[in-house]
Amino acid sequence: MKDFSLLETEIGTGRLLIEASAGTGKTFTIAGLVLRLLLERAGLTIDEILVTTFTELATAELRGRIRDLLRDALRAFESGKSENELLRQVLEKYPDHRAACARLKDALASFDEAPIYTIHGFCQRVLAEQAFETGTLFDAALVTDERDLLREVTWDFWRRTFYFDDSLGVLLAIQGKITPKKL
Amino acid sequence: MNGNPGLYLYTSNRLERLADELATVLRVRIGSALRPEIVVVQSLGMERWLTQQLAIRQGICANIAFSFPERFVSGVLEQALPGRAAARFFSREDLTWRIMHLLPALLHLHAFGELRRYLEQPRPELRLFQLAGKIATSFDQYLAFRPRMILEWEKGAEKDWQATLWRELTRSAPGLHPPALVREFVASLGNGEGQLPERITLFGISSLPEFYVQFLQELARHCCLHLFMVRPTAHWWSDIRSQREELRARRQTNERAQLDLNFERGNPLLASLGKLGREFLDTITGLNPSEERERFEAPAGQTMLAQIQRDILELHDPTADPKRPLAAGDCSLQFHSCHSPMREMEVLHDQLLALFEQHRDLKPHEIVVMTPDINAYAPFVEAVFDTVPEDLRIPFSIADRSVRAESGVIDTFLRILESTSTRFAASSVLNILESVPLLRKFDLVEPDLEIIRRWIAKTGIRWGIDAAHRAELGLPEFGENSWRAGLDRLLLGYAGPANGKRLFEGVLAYDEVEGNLAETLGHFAEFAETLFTTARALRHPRTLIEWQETLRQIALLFFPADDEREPELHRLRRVLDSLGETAALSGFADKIPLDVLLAHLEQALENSESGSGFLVGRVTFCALKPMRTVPFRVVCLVGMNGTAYPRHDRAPGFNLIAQNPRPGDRSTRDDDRYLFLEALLSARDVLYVSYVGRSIRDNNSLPPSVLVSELLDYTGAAVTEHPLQPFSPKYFSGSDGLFSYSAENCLASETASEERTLPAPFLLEKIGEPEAEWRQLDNARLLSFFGNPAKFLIRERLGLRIPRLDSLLEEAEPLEPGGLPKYLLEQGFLNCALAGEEFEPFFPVARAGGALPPGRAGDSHLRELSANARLFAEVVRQKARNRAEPEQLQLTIGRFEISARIDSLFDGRLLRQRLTTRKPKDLLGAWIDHLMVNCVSPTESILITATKEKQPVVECFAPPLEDPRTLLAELLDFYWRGLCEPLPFFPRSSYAFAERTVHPTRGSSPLEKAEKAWGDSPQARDNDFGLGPEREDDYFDLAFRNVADPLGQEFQDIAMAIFEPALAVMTKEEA
Repeated sequence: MKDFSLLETEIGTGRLLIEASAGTGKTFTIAGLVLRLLLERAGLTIDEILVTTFTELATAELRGRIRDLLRDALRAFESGKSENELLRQVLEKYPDHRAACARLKDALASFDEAPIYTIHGFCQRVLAEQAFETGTLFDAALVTDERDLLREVTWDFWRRTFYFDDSLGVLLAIQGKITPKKL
Repeated sequence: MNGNPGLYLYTSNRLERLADELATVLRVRIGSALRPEIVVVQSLGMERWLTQQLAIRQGICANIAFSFPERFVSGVLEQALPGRAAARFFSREDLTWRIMHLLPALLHLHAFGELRRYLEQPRPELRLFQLAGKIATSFDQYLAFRPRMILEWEKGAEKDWQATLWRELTRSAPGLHPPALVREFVASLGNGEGQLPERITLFGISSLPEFYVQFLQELARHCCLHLFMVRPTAHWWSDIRSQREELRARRQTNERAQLDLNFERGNPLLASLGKLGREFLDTITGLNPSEERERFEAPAGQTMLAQIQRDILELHDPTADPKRPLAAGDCSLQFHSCHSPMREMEVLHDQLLALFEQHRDLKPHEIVVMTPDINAYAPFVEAVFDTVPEDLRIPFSIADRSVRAESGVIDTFLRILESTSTRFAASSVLNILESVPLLRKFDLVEPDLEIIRRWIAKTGIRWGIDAAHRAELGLPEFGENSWRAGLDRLLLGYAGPANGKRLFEGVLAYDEVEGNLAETLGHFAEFAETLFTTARALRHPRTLIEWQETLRQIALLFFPADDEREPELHRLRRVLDSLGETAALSGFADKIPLDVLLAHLEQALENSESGSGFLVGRVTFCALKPMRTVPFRVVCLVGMNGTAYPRHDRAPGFNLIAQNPRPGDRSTRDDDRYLFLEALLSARDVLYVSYVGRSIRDNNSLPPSVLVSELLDYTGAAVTEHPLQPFSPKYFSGSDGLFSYSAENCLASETASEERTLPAPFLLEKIGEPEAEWRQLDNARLLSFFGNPAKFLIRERLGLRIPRLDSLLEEAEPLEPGGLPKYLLEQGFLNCALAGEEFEPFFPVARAGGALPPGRAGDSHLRELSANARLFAEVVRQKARNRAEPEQLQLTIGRFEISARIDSLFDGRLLRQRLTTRKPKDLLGAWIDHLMVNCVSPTESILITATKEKQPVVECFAPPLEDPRTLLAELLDFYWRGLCEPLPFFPRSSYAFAERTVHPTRGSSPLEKAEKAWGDSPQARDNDFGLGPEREDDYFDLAFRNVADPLGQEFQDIAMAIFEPALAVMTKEEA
């Protein structure tokens, strides 16, 4: 386990796991990583960086934060100065301001294509686009709350198993007042 | 311009100027005056707008044949090559069915391996239909965007599955497909054959696929083709590319040279949003127009909106300049961030009112409100715009809603079809019945729904048609709680009562069908039977022709013919009619299951555009759809949320256009971007943007659409942040630029900012004493008073009833009997036992009531119920020997006359029994009778109840220690008092207090016990009777609202006065 530095840690290859507790700026860090990837990797565009998180709300927030940081960074590169401490370091670290401007402008212009998804949103997209390979129906809908389905399945199990079976186990279960609600 | 053949191009940044030009063109007649003028537009909205504009300019707009590009091309081809065209055959819909027809026979080919594997998985028919639909969509796009590829396919021998499939399709086609037709058409024109209109006008079209462009090019050789298009700028802007395209261009040169490339950028908004129009202008210019006319006009005025529009016209990039501040009072560009769609509509309503006030000449029809998702927003539009006070109403209409949202008839029709695969849960069947035209068809009216709902709940209907239906679902074949069971009970109940115990053919009659409701019952039963028969019939696969016939029948069965909903029914019939045509054209004659048909039907209905609601003299709410942007004074874009816009289409992996995109291809994303630009340019006075910018749950900030962000960055304009509530005081304090026209919300905000006050007590002072006849009563009435004095006062004396909210209908059979049905079962068994009858004959009756779980679990409950009843009856019989003759008691106590029928004296003891845990009300009932009998002669009473485990409990009252008349008089005084004011007597809490006072323990104090029953202590719900807190009773709650201390001294005194004398003489007795 190593200490993580937003601007210095090597992010070129391999995997990177960042562990931090709530409120320590993970979202901010992700936005910073996207910025670095765009600046460091020539030819990498925003639609090629997948970002996923858990809830729709978190996704929306992440989307807003990443775009804000890219815009602020662009302004900083254009004017050569910034109020923001991190961006001042960024300006120093990436001396080719013209190239940086071009990349950031491109990222902002196609920001609507940035794949920032919830995990299930991403899976749904893959399933829909690769329907042949995955065998999913083209017009499949995503169920985010499967409780109703589970309830129905449990009930059906109950109906098939318990209604007309005279085995000892079943009778004991009934005696013990086991019901689908408890399954 | 002369009348020579050729392409005449008119461009302007303003659609109004193009309308001027068109009026000028039309003034010069060509050819016969009787031949209609052909004008091609791309939407109904544009057609309507242009008609109005021409009428304004010419005084009349007549003899113009409007057409859409597709229909126009096929019309021309049909005329030029009679009998050869097969335009409909190659429509997306018919292609789908042709592919359905042909594909299965091709699957054995090697190239189709991928498809074969895909189709071998579950639900093959639906899979085939969906796949065919995707292929058809792709082919449809190829025809428009890759006509040359299609022609190549036909010549060549590509082994690719798409090419093979296409060759199969054309081999069996009755006519030629569009690209081939055009090829022939061109040839025939070359030979001087074929007839063409002299003049053709295309108006307000911002993009056309390659196929159409080629076609127009040919036409222009032989007739006058006038093309009117909006162009954001007079400058040549085809070099202005977005940064993204620029980057792509850079990648192709080498790394070092990259930075030396210097692209002229011009206006960044135009660069980012204008790709679609730019490419189309390129294409059209490539056609070498014979004449071009430009009518550019700089938007006047100093408003922010006018400045942006001028920037775009002049290719000016202001982002480098110092920010232009929004002048005070300039509302030409507005951004609003709200917490929800509902709030967006409320804000919009207020802002529109402000605009009406500001621009006195502004008319509702000069305002358009567009949104990416009209189906999601339509309910909120109605909820806000329809409910404001009359004097603030803004007339509006909603266009583009989905067919199901727009037409109740079609929605109900589809629901009936969809119900086939459901389990017919009680509430979903009731939902279908709620449709107004359907109610009328079955001679029912809306109030009947309440009655029917009650019947469903009371007869235990939960789900499933009948036992057979359940067996079909692979479940045990049980009939309880099914529709059949419930309907049988209802119908038999009409025939005659069962008195809770007689079965007829295994059915227990439901005894509460009132005679005058017989007709309602009949109609309801007819509806249910019709629905179930229909559902059963629909499960078999059918051919398209058979489906057509069946569905027509269903429409007749469920909807009245002479209905005011005729337009909706007509729309439905038209789509059903097309099923036959589809079958005939496609040659598809296989049987298909209902799910495939439903998928087809929904698409077909959706495509049968009703075109209503656009530009009808009111504020237009509509979807953001390409190429319908006509000028409005006020353009509002609402619901511009994060990912809602621009939309992205997801082409299937095999789509060849997506694999190899070319300039001129259409994508939803580019369409949406251009549409945003068009909206920006077509606003004459105001552009209004709103979005959900804050989470309604935690107030976190949510970003708007990327396009809105771009516009915000570009203008540096501020977003108005709206508070969560429409009645926030901020709206009425005149600060922050927030305002509201709502008097209601103003009042609410005042109230909200005041010190909170609690509502006044229920009665401010005692009410007068009631009439003398209230002094005559019987024991049951007195008991009913003490059972809940507040309820007695409110219902009996004041005549008020607190309505109970309907509970939800249950969706599954019971797991165990509970509540009232269980008590009734227990009493049924007890009556059996007391009468010395066998239990077994009663079992089917108990089951037929629908309160027991089916199968073995039900058996187990029956055994338990009968064992409990037997034990309890045993004890009752032991204690109840030698019954005395019943007698009528009549007592005069002070000014009260009180009566009672005493019929349960056994061996000189008064007996009362109930197979349930002893509630304070049971004790009070026994005590009142006991006092009355003791007024005549000293008598003992016994009360038999049971523990929670149904073990009998026998309690015995000795004659009271004091004079029974005095005690009775005291009770009657409480009764009299309770008729004039809420009496602080709450049976469970009062009993808990008195009992603990009489029998103190080391545990909780009497008051603590009372508080627990009342619900003031944390363990409120865990009280002795398994009931909720007593304070939550509707009547106690109303009568004692804001009474500082309902369990005060008075409560305690009354509790003791009533219960103490009873507890003093009460003893337990061996059961």
